[in-house]
Amino acid sequence: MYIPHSLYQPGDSWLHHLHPLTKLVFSLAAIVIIFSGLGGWLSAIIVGLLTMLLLWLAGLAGQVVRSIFQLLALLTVVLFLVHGLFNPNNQTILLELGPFAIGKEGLVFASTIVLRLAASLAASLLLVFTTHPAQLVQALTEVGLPHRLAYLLGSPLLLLPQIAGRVQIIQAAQQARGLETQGKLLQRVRALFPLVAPLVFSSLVDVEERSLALEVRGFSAPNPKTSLNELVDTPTQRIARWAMMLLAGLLLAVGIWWRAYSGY
Amino acid sequence: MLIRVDDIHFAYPGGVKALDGISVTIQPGEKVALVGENGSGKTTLARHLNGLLRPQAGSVWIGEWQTTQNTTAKLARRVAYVFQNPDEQLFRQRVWDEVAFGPQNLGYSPEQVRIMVENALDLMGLSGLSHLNPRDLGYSGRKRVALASALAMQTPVLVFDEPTAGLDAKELEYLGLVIISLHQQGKTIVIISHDMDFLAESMDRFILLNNGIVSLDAPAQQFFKQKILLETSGLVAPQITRLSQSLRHSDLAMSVDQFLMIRRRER
Amino acid sequence: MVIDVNGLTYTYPSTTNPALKSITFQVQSGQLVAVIGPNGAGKSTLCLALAGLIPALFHGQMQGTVMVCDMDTQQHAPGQFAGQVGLVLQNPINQFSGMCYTVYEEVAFGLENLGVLRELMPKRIDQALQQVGLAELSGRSPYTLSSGQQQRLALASILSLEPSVLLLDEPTAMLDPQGSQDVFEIIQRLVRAGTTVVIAEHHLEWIAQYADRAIALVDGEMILDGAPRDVLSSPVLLQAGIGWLRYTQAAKRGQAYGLWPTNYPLPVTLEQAVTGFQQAGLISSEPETNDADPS
Repeated sequence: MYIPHSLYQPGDSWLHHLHPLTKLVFSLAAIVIIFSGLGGWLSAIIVGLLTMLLLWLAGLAGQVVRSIFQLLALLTVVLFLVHGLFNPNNQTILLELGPFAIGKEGLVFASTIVLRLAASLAASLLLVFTTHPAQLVQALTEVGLPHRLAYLLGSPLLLLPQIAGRVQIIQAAQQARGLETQGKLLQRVRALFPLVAPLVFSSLVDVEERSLALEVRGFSAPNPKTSLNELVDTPTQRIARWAMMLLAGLLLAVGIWWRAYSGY
Repeated sequence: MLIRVDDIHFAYPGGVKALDGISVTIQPGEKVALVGENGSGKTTLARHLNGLLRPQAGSVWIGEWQTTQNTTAKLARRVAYVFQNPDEQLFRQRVWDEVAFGPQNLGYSPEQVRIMVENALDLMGLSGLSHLNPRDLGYSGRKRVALASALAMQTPVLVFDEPTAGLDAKELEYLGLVIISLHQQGKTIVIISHDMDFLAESMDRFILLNNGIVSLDAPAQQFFKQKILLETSGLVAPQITRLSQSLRHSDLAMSVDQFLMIRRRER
Repeated sequence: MVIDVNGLTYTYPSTTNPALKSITFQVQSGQLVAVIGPNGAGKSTLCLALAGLIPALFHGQMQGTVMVCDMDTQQHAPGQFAGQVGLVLQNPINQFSGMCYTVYEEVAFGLENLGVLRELMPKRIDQALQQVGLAELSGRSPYTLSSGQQQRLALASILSLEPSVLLLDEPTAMLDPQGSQDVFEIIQRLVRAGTTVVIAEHHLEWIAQYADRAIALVDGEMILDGAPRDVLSSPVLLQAGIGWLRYTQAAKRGQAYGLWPTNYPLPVTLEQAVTGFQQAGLISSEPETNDADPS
């Protein structure tokens, strides 16, 4: 049975060679800055463009853009419609559709949200696409995160495609019993309900089996863990991480202060 | 319901060619076993029989319906497909509702659905358990519910993907009886399985797949005489058949009954 | 005595019927013990109990003792059994760590958990891969392997920890005959090299040929424990839903027609069956001799 590829894309770019924590800090700092609200959509655009530049230098820009598009396309349309039509701040009418009117303020609001989401997604994908989950787990463990928690954070990155594969099988099983999944939107939405229980149940069975298998391989052994591969870190990266954290913290503080004092 | 598979080709996304020119015709009422190693294409072929997969070249006909011209849901009127893992299918709170799902989707009236469900439950020995939650039944029970759900649809063709996997001897015996009953009703039955002993006792015709092509398609007797081909395909002949071969019977036994008959004859 | 089970009774939480009832047996080092039984008999529960995962992870109520490698499963955490006792389950994919992109990394996972020094890892990984015949595929993603290869990978991941006891819970249930054969051959080699193996299986034919001992479990109780030939031809198996090999069935029913010698033990392998049926054939085709023939 065909199982789609994982989120991590093995490769040799300079981003791949960066220490996992550096990329993690970058993603988190980026998201903090984007949502700190400074300059409205300006922070989103600056951070987003910077991220795309880094990705472009590593040859991954195309893939990331495609993924962002796939993930956000539907949401973008929905957001534009909802805010264009119903945002309470709508004053300037751009287009009239019968009893409904699309307002400029609503569209601006929606586009800010979309820009922020897209930029955050780009920063996250930079981490996810170029970081081997096991190395992220190792990095987190090395800075003191409990082993179990680190594993919990790292493993979904590889398990999601398995879940997707399972969804395909479950859907096929229901289709084979006459469930219409094509056709009208309503039909397709209804066809999603029979997916939930088998997905949850079989996933739970999997989770239970997996935790047994992990135990048997010493997951909870009390000794300190070792690792097959060494994570390479450089002083430059360490400085960069601190710098990013400081910058993010600073901009966040400024953003909060500005909002509090300008009554925005 | 005649099934015609006409020179079909299929490759999964990612390039793996699973079917490389398969042509098979299955007459109404036949009992056919699809065998071969994992990855040989048998599951892929089986999924073409109800439109879950559609050929990239060639065509599949279920009666006069071509699978590329009909939705899977529509083809489900003629072909019921049972997946190997019941847990990937069960979602209703009661056995009764689970079994009724198929007939309901096919648009039968509540009264008809009731009859269809009761017949299926009866055949699978679940009549007394219809009010229970399928999840509370053991693996064998859940497997029976999955089977009943397909039988309830009363299709002329039934395809079972590894119905024998995970069953113990008692359950296998019961399954054998169910197949006899379905055969008597005139159903066409296609089974994918690795359990040669079971298949030899219940199926008439064997189709061996190797790397996406049909290596051998023959009635049981001829099929198991091809010792070398079976060995290189990673198959082990049924115990009783191997016993027959070792004792140099001219006719190979497919079941213990047949074996004893042959033995008495050749004494 | 590598495994010592004494009066083991275990009930899962929120259930009333014990899954295992008063199980008592010992296993010597290097034995290959097969556990057979219908679905729900308790085979999996027994494997989990021997691995030290019950009662630690499942809680529930346990009476009696289980000693494996001189460790009491009720006194030691599962993590302490990891280097000594290995457990292989049915579904290969659920046994993967979910974080490894190559076969090599997957086998290393357990070693990392147990804190094995990095310098010592390559040798152990290579050895494990050799044992299961996956050495050439060490760079492949586990998810691109066939089911048989995946199960061998799961096995290698456990073997790299060099356990002295290996437990397997229906390891071939999802494999095709070739895949099953590969797994069985690896187990046979391990036993010859001194590993103690307890395996829950439905493949009676392999058990008949290679197991040193067979234990039959029905409804949580141990109803038979002995040499495979004796256990597999016991009438008890028929009532218990475990069934007989076809050879055994043919011989038993053949006795009524004189097709199987009456003083012969029932066969559980092809060779035994062939010998017996041929023998019966010879006896019945011998001409009658009359000792009082005056010639």
